[in-house]
Amino acid sequence: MESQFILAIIILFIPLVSFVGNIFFGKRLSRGGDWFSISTVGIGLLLSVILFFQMIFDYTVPEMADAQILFNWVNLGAFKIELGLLVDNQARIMLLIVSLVSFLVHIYSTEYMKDDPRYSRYFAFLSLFTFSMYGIVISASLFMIYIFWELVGLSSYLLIGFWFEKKSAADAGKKAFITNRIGDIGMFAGIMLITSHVGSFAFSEIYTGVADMNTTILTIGGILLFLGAVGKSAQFPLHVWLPDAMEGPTPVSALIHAATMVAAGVYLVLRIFPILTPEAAMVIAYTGGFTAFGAAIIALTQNDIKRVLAYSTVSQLGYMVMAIGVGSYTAGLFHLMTHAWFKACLFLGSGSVIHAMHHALHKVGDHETDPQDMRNMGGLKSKMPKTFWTFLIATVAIAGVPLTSGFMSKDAILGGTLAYAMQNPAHLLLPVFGFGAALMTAFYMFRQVFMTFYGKPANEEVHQNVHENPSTMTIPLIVLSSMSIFVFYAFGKGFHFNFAHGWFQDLVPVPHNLTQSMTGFLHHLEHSIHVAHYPAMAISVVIAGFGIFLAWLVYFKKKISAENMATKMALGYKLSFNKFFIDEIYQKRIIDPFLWLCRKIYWFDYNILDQKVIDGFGRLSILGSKVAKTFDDVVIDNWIVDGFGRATLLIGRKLRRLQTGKLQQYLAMAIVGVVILAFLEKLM
Amino acid sequence: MNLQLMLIVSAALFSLGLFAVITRRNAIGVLMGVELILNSANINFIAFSRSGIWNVTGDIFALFVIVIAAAEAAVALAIVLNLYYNFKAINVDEASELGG
Repeated sequence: MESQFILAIIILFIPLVSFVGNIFFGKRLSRGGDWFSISTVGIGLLLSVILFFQMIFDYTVPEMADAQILFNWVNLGAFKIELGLLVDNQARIMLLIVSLVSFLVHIYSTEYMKDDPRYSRYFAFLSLFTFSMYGIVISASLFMIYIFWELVGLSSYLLIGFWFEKKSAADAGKKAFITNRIGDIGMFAGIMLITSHVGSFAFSEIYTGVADMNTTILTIGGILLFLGAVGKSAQFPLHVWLPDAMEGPTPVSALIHAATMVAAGVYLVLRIFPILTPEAAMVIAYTGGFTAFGAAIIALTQNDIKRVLAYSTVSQLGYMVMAIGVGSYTAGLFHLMTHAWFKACLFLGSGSVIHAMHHALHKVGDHETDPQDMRNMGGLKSKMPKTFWTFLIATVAIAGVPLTSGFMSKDAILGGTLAYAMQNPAHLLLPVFGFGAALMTAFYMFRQVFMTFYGKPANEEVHQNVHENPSTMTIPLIVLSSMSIFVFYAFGKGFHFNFAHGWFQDLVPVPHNLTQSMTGFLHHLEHSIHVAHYPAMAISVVIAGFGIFLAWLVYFKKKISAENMATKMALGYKLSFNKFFIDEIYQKRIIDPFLWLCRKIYWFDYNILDQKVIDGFGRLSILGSKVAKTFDDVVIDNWIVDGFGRATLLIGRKLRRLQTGKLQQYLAMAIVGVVILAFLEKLM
Repeated sequence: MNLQLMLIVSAALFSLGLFAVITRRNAIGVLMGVELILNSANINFIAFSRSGIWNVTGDIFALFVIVIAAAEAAVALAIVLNLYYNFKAINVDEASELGG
């Protein structure tokens, strides 16, 4: 076995060790066992960095056969279930993302969760989550990915509902779990559809095995598999769980909803990219585009600092999905990576603000004010400089300002969508979605910065008590924000500077083993991408600048009143503020009728099935038993059994009289008997 | 000699003997009845032997029967004596210890 597989196995299982250790012995370890989790994740990070730099120095794209190791878990001849590791460049990059964000979140949590009564359990769950996520990343078969997929679902449920005393948190956990399950059903169906044709779960066999598959069925299979990603990556219409999941501790939001769990969906789409048909890819592109656009609209009007970020995440995930849908495979993963850094930074930054606000409010004795509402903040820049600067860098990156990682990745996606629309002018809506979302992203992110860090404090007394958090919280912010600077992505082979075409583009090319129709489709697209690249870059810079300028006007200079705008566009504001009433629609059109149906079925179950049928059987058998008992008692026992006894007794009593003891009588009777026998013989 | 006549005599003798056995209360009387039955059998043996119908020579059995009857009478009288010692009577009715 080559070294990369050994390293990958260790990376995979080491968080499991810390999960088991902390869940059983966490309370007995010093400091609740947090050092145990941190050191195991730290080892994972170290090994991931080794794997990553192995890739950078090798600077090759390995053939799939060289990057994977498979073994049969179940072998039934024509049907087999393989498990295995696939350590290609994508997996190495994802391993680095997951392990670094997880490591920083672990460190950050030691401060953020300091006084929590279930401190060690929290770290155990974090480790479990990290384990499951590693599993998805290095799976070489759909079956194995599905196992870890569900494990991620479970651990996210545990983490989102970590403060389960709060009803909203418990509900959010449930919502995330159930919503994900809906997507997973689709994914499961997709796996079965593909596997029943190919006869194997391994990616390497599926990629080649679908070549002779009916195109329509393959399209349906691709879309079904994508449904799993719709659930995990919070795409419309299953995005509703992600904003609610903000009920979990903020570091969890950074881990789950920025870097890892939601990225799993995108990663799955990347893994199934070689079996997608252009039609399936189009569905994916529109889902992503629509999500990116719609979520950005909602983010415009939210006041909760984490909710803005939540919708921003949904929107950015939409970007990634759209990128893959339009064939910009590389850009999709690139944005996944850059987004992981700056969104984790933003979440941890918001956590830092919330933590500080919470303590300040506590000190003042104010338990009513919401520490997460941006309207209660303002002017925090001078009080929390480290948080502010890191938050600003991440904001600039997500807005797509040049010289940031976000600019590079977003630009690649927008270029891809523009090229797609140039090739097929009917799909003009996709770049419109893309650029529109980019404009709104710049606006709402700077709205957030201005509302939180600039302006007059909402409450002077609280403001006085706000302090910068200790270095365990700020160092992760600094690390993550520095990852948003372009230099990390702007060098090629041998560390030569190349802004437009860095190592990422070289090491994660579009796979060559695509479906036939997709290969042709992408081939046509290639020319348009070159043409579209620079216009897309120019437009995105202008749009980002315009968005920032608008936010500056409204929320910094207050030249335009936000209230006036809201009243002028009352309908739009209402729709955005209430998240297009999607939750309400689900409640009214799906959940309520469903519950109504459940109640009816319950009524039927209880009143008819239980009371009438099942209890009826009971009553019937009691009745039957009574009849049988009477029959037994009277007929069998009294009449037959006792009857034999009585008859015997009676006959005996009668016959006893014959036994007189007088020989002469006996003899007389014997003679009578002989005479009778003689007569009988004569008669016969 | 007429065989039928002889058989009638023997049957009558048998019936009388039997009647005596059944009805006599005195044990001696019962024994006498038994003698009559035995002798009716003797008559039969001799009658069949004499008639020569089936070439049977049963007359020799009559001798045996007479000897055995003598022995039987001796044994039976001994029993009757015992009976008398036990019950102070020779009435067979009174020797009914067994009875339902």
